[in-house]
Amino acid sequence: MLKYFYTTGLIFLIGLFLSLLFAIFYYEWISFYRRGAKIKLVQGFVPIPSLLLGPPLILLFYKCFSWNLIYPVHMYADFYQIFFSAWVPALILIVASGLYSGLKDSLCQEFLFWRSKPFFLFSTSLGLKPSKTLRKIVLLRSLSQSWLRSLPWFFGELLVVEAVFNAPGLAYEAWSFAKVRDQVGMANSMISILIIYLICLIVFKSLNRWLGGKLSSYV
Amino acid sequence: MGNYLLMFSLFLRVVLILAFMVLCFAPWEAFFGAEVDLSSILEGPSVDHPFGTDNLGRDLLVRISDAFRFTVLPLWGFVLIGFFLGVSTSFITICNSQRWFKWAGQLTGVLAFIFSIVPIGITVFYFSVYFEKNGLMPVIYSVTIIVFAKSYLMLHQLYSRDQGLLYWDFHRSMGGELSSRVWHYGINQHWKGYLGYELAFYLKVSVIAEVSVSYLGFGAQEPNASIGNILSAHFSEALKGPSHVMLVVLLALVLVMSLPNLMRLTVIKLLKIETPTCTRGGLAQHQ
Repeated sequence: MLKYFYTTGLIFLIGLFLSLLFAIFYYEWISFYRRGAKIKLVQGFVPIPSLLLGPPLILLFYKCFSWNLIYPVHMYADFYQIFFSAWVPALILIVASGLYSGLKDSLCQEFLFWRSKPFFLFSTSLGLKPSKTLRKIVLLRSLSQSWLRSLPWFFGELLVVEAVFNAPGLAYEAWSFAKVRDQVGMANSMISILIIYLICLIVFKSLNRWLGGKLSSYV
Repeated sequence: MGNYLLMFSLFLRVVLILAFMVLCFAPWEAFFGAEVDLSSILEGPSVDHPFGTDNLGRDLLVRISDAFRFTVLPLWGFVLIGFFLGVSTSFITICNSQRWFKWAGQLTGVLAFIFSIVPIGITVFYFSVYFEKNGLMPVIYSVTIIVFAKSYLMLHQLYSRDQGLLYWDFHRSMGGELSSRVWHYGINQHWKGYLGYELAFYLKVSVIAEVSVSYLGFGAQEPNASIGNILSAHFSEALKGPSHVMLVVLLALVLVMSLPNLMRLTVIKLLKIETPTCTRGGLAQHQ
């Protein structure tokens, strides 16, 4: 069970890191390069089935670069092999769960919203960098909101992604139990996934609420 | 220029919707045959087989048409039933202030919340395994229940958001009934766009859930056709040999997934319905 938890946890943590990285780059882009230009609001939150991304990507990399994206056998692999194999599933989960599109939408909306506030004008009049003034607020709010929206999809698509990439995570374990009709084993794995999901949900919901309360006094 | 682009996008939408209809309802098996033919395994597109053949030599066009007809359409039918049941139950519980209705409404609300909080992929997978039945029925039952729960909660959310509006107060003070407000100001007016958006979203999500479960070996199984099980049967073969089957199946998946939204946008354009300006509310947040 620990081995499975370790893979799922790794995928989740890399997903979190990748989303943070994307949010920082995208924020810098909209705040610096498109400061004066009109920011186009995209239609936020578009979940895509990971079956549309996973198998073609494996096929493409295998046929074009002879690069195997499928997980190595856990017993014979060292930590680095497993660590590097978790990046592509995490990336696919970010796109498939709608986190990528939701984050883009949320960053634009939050940036436009906070840019119109008097405190922003005041700080720019004092000579502070515009992108620096709003960075923390916009990034934190966008990330917490987008993750909250995408969490059910992230954990729902985990089943397919772990099956496609042969990643020995909790969802893969549940699938393996389901194939041999071991309902108790499957229920155990499912409950573990649900517990992790609920913990993440509570964390992001609390963060969102705490941020909302804290930022309500900003004018 | 903008007008031409709009006309072109509308034309494209209509073409894609028609393509789905033709794929779905034309009697392809009469032209190309649906039987197993081991002498023509994994053949590329030709006059005899426009989309090629699968790993058992069956015509892929017929297989995809079967997947649309016998998997996607029944699923969407039940999603529609779940959606209308959810909206009408929500409407009844909002409009009736009797104690019995209030209790029933609260109980339904709690159950709906429990179903809506669990990821749809996990719920559908669990139902499919738990009932230990091959076929679409466990997927259909679970998707219908989830859609019912989510649409029930969505109407309640819209009601609690709009009940404090000034014109609702004015209507109340003039002696207007709550049901009339919910129907005329809400469902038939300002909520129409949201309801359409959510319905299109549920239709898309139901396809994602079904395809995923079928790919994992539950849900629709051979010889019944589903995009998920066709994809699953050809994934390893695509790594070794020709990958046209994967390409065709993935294109079919893109078409069937984008169809609900295309239909929604076409209806909005043709009937000039008010649309929600922002997509942050609704299902995306309460699920």
